[in-house]
Amino acid sequence: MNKKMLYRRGLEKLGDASSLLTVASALLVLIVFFAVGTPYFLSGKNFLNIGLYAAIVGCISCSVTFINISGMIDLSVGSQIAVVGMVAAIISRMGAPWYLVCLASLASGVLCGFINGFFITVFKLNAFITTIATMQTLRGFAFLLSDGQSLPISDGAFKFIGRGYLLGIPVSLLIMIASYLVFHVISKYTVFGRNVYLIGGNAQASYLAGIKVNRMRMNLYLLNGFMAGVAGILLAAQTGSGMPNAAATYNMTALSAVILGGVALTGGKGTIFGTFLGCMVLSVLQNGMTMMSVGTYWQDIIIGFVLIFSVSVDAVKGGSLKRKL
Amino acid sequence: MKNRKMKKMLSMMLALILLFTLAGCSSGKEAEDVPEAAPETGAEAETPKEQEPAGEAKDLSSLTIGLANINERGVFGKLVKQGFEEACEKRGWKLEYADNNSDGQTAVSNAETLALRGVDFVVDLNVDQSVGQTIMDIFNDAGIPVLAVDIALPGAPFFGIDSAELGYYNGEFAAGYIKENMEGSLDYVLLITQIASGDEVQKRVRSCVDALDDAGVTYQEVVELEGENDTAKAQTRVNDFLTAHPDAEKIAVFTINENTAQGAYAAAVTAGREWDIRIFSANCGSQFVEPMYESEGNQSWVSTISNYTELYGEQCCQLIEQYFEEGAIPEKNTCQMGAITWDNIKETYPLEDLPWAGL
Repeated sequence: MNKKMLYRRGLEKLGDASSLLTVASALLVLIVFFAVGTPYFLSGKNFLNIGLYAAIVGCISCSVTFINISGMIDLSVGSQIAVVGMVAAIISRMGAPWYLVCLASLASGVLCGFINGFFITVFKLNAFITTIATMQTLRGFAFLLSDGQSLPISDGAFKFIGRGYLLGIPVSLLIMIASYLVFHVISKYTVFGRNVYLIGGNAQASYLAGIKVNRMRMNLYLLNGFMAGVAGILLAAQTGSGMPNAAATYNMTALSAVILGGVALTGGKGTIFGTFLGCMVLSVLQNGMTMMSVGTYWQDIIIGFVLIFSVSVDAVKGGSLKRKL
Repeated sequence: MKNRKMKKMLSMMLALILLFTLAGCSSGKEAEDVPEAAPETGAEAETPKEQEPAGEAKDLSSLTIGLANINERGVFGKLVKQGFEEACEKRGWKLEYADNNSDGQTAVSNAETLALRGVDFVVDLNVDQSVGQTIMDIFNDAGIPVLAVDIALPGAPFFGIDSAELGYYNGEFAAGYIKENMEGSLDYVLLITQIASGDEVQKRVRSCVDALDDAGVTYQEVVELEGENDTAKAQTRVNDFLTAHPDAEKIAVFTINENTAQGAYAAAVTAGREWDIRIFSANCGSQFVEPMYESEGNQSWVSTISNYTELYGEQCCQLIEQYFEEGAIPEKNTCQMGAITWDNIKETYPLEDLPWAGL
């Protein structure tokens, strides 16, 4: 029995490693391709830029990874980010100092997460349906907060979070790196992290084993709301305004990063490092293509193709061609 | 048993929330973006054709005007509505109002309703060109004259933005600035497009290049970047462009609206290259005006072309007066526009009296 379990765990680890290898190879190929294709791609400044602008999606992808590993989904992250951005702009325009703006923004993110978690864990609603509903509702709320207007932010200290540099490194990038480190530690070295994988693998068995599945799920949505708060702050600070229509495509970008990184949408499988690589692949692709003056529509086609190609390679390596169904 | 009671209470609560939400919605505080790029002239520069003379002389002091607005989800539609309310009140006219909600079907239904309400003249802002003929049929059958605003309606006189004219005007202003401050030469001309809004709208940036050429401004290359009407995307793409062109120090950026201009400006500031670019945008709202006041004009977002949406009502009402006095109005009527800069912002958009402040 123990041998069987060890064998299975060994296979799972091998599978994770294989996914990481696929996405890491894709990233390497892209870097080499763009380095050859455009002279300024392979500069330190450009890599900092890639990190700077990947930070928003990068941060939210951390918690989306946990959500997906637990077998759930959140399609409302873009709307949550928009709400947070609007809250940040409104509070900042009231004259509040940057730390209060951040606190209020994070609180609004957590509240958004609570709304999702409440309906999913109390009413046991399907996460897909719930978050589609909250995606609409929160987007509407973002517009309602300012009657549809974008609200410029003038507080330099707040904007420093999105535009500033510390020791030559963008603050946004530092925040993203810190987020990935924290989420990596949580996923690998804490009971909470292990439970995320367990409930994603088999929620019923986890419940029978004594894991408080609903509480876990609620905590995950709260955490996701918190990270939407972080991403919303970064977005508002980078652009210097709260925009009700912001982050409309971030749901799909974050999901793409997570899937590219090898997370199974059915739950139980995936790594934070994989998501980081997935996020980098998307950002490098976008950056390199813009530098090579590739048209926007072609960029969309190529990004979609890379996504389907990477997942297909992963599936084939996992023996999908040999399976009947 | 306790559980069942709990369920009942929760169901009641949900029902109440739903009711309150519906009640809240009916107050008209809807929320979505203004399709600010949607306004598209669609009208070709034809020889002005006079509309059919008014059937019977109307008493100008007792007109009822129908306004079918584009939507009320953002600043544009609200400014239009506010402008018409003020202009009609000034003249003692009655205003019958309907919200097309950027939806063709709603626009048709509103046309029917306005016709039934017995209005003397209709101003229609409809984004769906496919229902234009249906709307016109309804008003023609009812014998009600129509003025189409920003999007053409077949057979109706037009009022609004001429994208090519706006772009050329922006380019002319920029050329003057470039000659005065940048020795008349540029490294790059960067056009932030919004392709999804159609070719007509792109003229708001593409025509700028014609004006630069005509004014003798020299440049190495014209580059188009898609902004998707998204600040963050425009920011990322302009940043990538700046990284790919580290030696470029004289870049003129033209944008269709403030959203993408703000993204371009944020990219340059974040990259520490604010003064390598000069931004000339279109549309004027808080995104341009507030930072301009804050920086006291010391910013590389030099100007924006305002089409004075807040004056749409007054300008349209003048055309309506002309129609009832003279029996006809020109087929094409371009709205006022002007370049807003630090030099004139205090006169055009005084901080204490911004048109969108009360919305």
